[in-house]
Order: sequence, then C-alpha cells, then structure tokens
Amino acid sequence: MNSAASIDATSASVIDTLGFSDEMTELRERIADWVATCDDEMRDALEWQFLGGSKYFRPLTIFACHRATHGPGPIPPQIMTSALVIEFFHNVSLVIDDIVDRSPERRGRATMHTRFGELSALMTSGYIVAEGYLQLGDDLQAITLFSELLKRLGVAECMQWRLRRQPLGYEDWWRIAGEDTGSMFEICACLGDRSGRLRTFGGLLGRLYHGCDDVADVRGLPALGGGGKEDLRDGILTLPASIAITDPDISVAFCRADPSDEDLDLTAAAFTEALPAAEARLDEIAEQAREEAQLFAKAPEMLDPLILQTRALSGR
Amino acid sequence: MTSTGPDPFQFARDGGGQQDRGGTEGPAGLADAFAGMLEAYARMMQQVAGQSGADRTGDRPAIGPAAALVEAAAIASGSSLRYGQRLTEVFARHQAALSEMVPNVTTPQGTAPGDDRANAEAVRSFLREVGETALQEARRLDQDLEKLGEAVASGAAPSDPDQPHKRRWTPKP
Repeated sequence: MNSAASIDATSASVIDTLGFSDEMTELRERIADWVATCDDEMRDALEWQFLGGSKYFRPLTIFACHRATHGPGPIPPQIMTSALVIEFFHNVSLVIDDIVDRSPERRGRATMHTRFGELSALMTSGYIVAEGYLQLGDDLQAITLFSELLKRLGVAECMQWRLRRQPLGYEDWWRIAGEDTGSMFEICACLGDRSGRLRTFGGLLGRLYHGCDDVADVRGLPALGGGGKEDLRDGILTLPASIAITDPDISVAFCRADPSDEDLDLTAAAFTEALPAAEARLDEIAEQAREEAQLFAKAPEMLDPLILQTRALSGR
Repeated sequence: MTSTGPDPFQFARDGGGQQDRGGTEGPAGLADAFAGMLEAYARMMQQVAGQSGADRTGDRPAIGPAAALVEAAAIASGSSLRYGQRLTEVFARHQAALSEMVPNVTTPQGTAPGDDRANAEAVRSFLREVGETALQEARRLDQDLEKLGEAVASGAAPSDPDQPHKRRWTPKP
C-alpha cells in the first residue's frame, strides 16, 4: 500500500457522521495503489493530482445515496468502484477546468498544467479516463452513467463559455449549474441508488454546491478552490452575477467585452451586495433537496449531512 | 403507512369509501356511496395536508390484488389532489410577479428593455416550477404504484418460501 491522500477536517467529520470512515480509507488506498502501478511517464503528475488532498465529497455522495436507498450494510464492490471512478473523472474535470481557466493554482497548490505542462496535463487526463472505464469492467449501468456525465460536462463547459458576458438571469444560472456541477452530483446519486430515484436530489445538491462555490468566490474564500477573479474577468454567469445584473448599469459593465478596472470594481461591489439574495436562493435549493430526500429516500437522514455540509460552503 | 398518498386502509377502517358496498341498492345506496366518497375525500385531503413524509418509502405488507386496485385508485386520487394543490401554491407564489406584467404590456408605450428581461425571468421561473411540480408528482405516483405492485407480488408469492423452487426439466435428447 502507498501513502494515501489526506482529507480535510470538515469532510472527515461528515464522513465519520455518516459512518463511511472504513470505506473512505479503502477508497484512498485503492487510489494510491493504482497511482503506484501507473506508467512512469505519468506517475509524477498523477501523484501530484491525486495524493495532494481531497474532500472526497463525490464518493461520499455515492455512498450516502446507496445507504439512503438500500439501507444499512456493507458497500458493495460495484459501488466502491463507482466511487473510485467518480474521483478519477472529477479530477479530470479539475485538470481541464484549470487549463481552460488558465488557473496557476488550486487550493494553494500549483495546478497540473502549471507544474507539468499542458501536454502532460491533457494526456494524463485521457489516461485517467481510460483507466476509469477499465475499472468499471462489465458494470454497464455505471458505464452509461459515466458516459452521460462526460458528455454533459463537455456541453456545460461550452454553454457556460458561450453565455458569458450576456445579460441573463437566475433561470439561466439554474440551467448552467444544473448541467455543470448538477450533472456531476446527479450521476453520483444514480451511481449510489442505482434506481434513478435520487437523481433529482443529486441535481439539486450539485446546484447547491455550484451556488455555494459562486458565493464563496465573491467572499474570497478558498474553500472550494477559488476561481472568483477568473469568473469576474471572463464574465461568467455566477449566482451573485445573475442577481446583480438585473440592475441595468451593472449589466452594462458586466457585459463589456474588455472590462476596465472600474467595471470590474463596480461589478465586484454589486456581486457583494447581491450576496444576501444569493444566500436566500441557496436556502431555497437546500430546502428543495431536503424535500426530495424526504420523498424519495428510504433513509433521508443519510442525505441531510450532505446538504448541511454543502450549504455551509458558502461561508455565510 | 408506506404510500406517499393517503392510507386507504385507514379509510376502510374508518368506514370510508367502501362502506355499504353491495349492501344498499337504489338511489339511497347511491347517495350513501356518494356521501361515503365525500367523507373519504375529506379524510384524504386531511391526510394529504398532514402527512409528514418520513415514513413514505419503507417496505409495506403484502396485499391482495383486489385490495390493491382499491388502494391504487385512492393513491391516484390523492396524487391528483396533491398535484392540484401544489399547482395552486406555485401560482400563488408567482401571482404578484405575473400580474405586474399585465399593465405593462397593455400600455401604448409597451415595456422597457429592463422590464422585458424581468418579465421573461418571472415567466421562466413560473414555468419551471410548474414543470418541476408535474414531474415530482408523477415520480411520487410512480413510486407509490411500484411499491403497491411489489406488495401485490409479495402477497402472491408461495406461502412456504423455505421450500426450494424446483424447475421441472429434462435434457433434450
């Protein structure tokens, strides 16, 4: 066994609360063992990406959705492998996002492309995806779900870029967030419950995560990896942006192709002012997620800590 | 109770919609049946309004096919009522924003570009919630009927589950 990645204290506490400490240890060991067996050409980059620390929130969502639907008992091997592969695919999405956003750092560490170069980062991403499908073996349901995920993430990234610097609103944000982070958590829920009953719950949890990320960025919190400055510069429709640009003056500054420093200051201030309204929207989404859990999970109490942890990420 | 709708067994215990079935003939019987239906309806409404949701998705006891049809009808009725009620709630939530649009679109000057955006946003939000309400209710109904089907299947299962099921077969010559 090789040294596994660390988990931050908050995530560890939720993992403990839900009773998945052993499963998470096994997952981290499987990741570390896999990295150790990879081609020498890729290993440094993979160690950098996978062994530097993670919240493991997506695997946790899979485990929790499984228990919420199927009740207590050991996590089956198929579900454990799904958790492993979701962590693979999530990391691929991070690497690609960082390249697209030209982000030099994520959570205080150099991004993969900054440290190893774009070619290495792109090729390593392909390597991880191929390994993911290999790990899934004959689990056709999971293969279908992971394929859906990769396709939707690709569409979401293109849609988000195409819709930047446009005078849109909350409903557009809802759509973007649903396809971006929402699709990730929708798939996590489906991988865990294997019936599709918690798909909508997953979508809501993902939107909640996406929105909290947007709000935390405005607050300058590092909790979710940053990215606020890039979003502001690129005119990305974040949750606070969707609320702030209902003001015509803010909308004009936000939509400008080449925003000045004054434009950026104006929009940044307006986004900060929009935070209470954004928090209210996040409360609504959290409530919807809770209702979904109550209606469609056998053990909704397994899902409450996920909602609470996610909601706390906005740093309110 | 395991259904997300009202509990028809409770109706039966209370002498609800099934009371006097076949026991009274003619107009009086029809009137009694109608009254029973109204009583059942009233109780159903109370249960729809008062259910906690915490016990909605557990396993349910076995049930016979005939009783299942009665329960399916009750589940479907409860679902329709709940859907109507929730649609009304959605409309009530959006009524103010939607009615604000009417004077704007009827004035000769029309609407300002900012108003157009706000109106579009209000309508989209309303339509999304209407769609979500329909989808959620359909999923609830589907879940309830599926559980009912499972209970029927469990009721029809062999009485001695310990006896191994042996398939009779002979190899082809």
